[in-house]
Amino acid sequence: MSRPKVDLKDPALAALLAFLLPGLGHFYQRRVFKGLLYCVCILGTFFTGLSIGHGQVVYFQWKQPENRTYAYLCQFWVGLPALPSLAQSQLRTKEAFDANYVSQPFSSNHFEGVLFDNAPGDSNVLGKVAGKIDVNSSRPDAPRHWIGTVTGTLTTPEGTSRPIKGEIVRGDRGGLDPEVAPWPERRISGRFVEEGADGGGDTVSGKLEGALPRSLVDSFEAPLQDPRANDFGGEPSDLDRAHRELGGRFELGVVYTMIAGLLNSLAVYDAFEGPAYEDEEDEPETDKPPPEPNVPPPS
Amino acid sequence: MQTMGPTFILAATTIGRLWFLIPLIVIVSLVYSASRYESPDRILRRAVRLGLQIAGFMTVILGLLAWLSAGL
Repeated sequence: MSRPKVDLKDPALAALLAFLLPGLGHFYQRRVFKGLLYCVCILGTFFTGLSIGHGQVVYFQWKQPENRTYAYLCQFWVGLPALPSLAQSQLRTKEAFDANYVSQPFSSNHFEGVLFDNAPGDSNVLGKVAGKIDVNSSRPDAPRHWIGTVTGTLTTPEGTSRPIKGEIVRGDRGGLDPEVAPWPERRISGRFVEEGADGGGDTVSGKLEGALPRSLVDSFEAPLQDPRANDFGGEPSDLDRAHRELGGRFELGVVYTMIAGLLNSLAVYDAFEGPAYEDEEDEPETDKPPPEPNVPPPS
Repeated sequence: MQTMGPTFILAATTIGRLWFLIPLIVIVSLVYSASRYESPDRILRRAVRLGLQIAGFMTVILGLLAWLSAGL
């Protein structure tokens, strides 16, 4: 293979740029068509895969030997879009992935949940609760014992609404999702008691199941924990939950994002070394018909 | 007909997922050809040819697997 006639400028810098963002190295080399092609195709494939897998298919997990994400070895080559996985797994504390762990107080104005009565089973819905929640550990030395204060509106199945304020504690069947996980909502459930319930009157208590939004920083490319002693609703692990919710889409998302990474490795090499064939030089097997042999004219 | 029901559903699901293959073939053909050539015209021409080759190969494999699993 001969050296291409393309001006590669600084090939090492171009390769680095092509790794960081597909197509960027080619824009630097003023190869606009190829830059656009790589950018659209590779980023499009990566984010399509991420979307198919609901953001749960790109993450880095290497500490548990039985659960290493070998797919990330391919996804990594997409560059910047895949690097938050490394940050999520390396820069977070261990407790950030623990369910029911409240290291510091947090609150949300977008809490939504459903309140059930104290009867066995979840069939008796008292109403929907929407409003604000403040969660804190109930004792400073016990971050796994949390308590939440809910302030908002209770809407009954009949359609009537009224203000409600009360406290939610973990109880026997309750739980709080970890701070960092790839789902956009953080679930919380526990025993709810409205203020003034001890004094009788028109107050309610029961089991409250709800969720509050999880920020993008805490969810983007966050690792799935598996295996893990997850005591939330008897679910064995995050990976099981992802497979149950996504079905075959999980594998599809993994394949799309892996292929995007592998394709960008071709783009990086192209930025560093140039195309394999020059345009003037035809490839080994050519489209052109073979030249006609020189047949001497009949005498 | 009772055994055809689940088989038909499985086949329909599998064929539905095959649609996800088409964009992958297009993109792999384009990017691979772009890494081989420099001229846009040649990249597109070779990408079409490579895409057809991949699609043909996959169709043959699909047909072979369908034939092998026909009696199962």
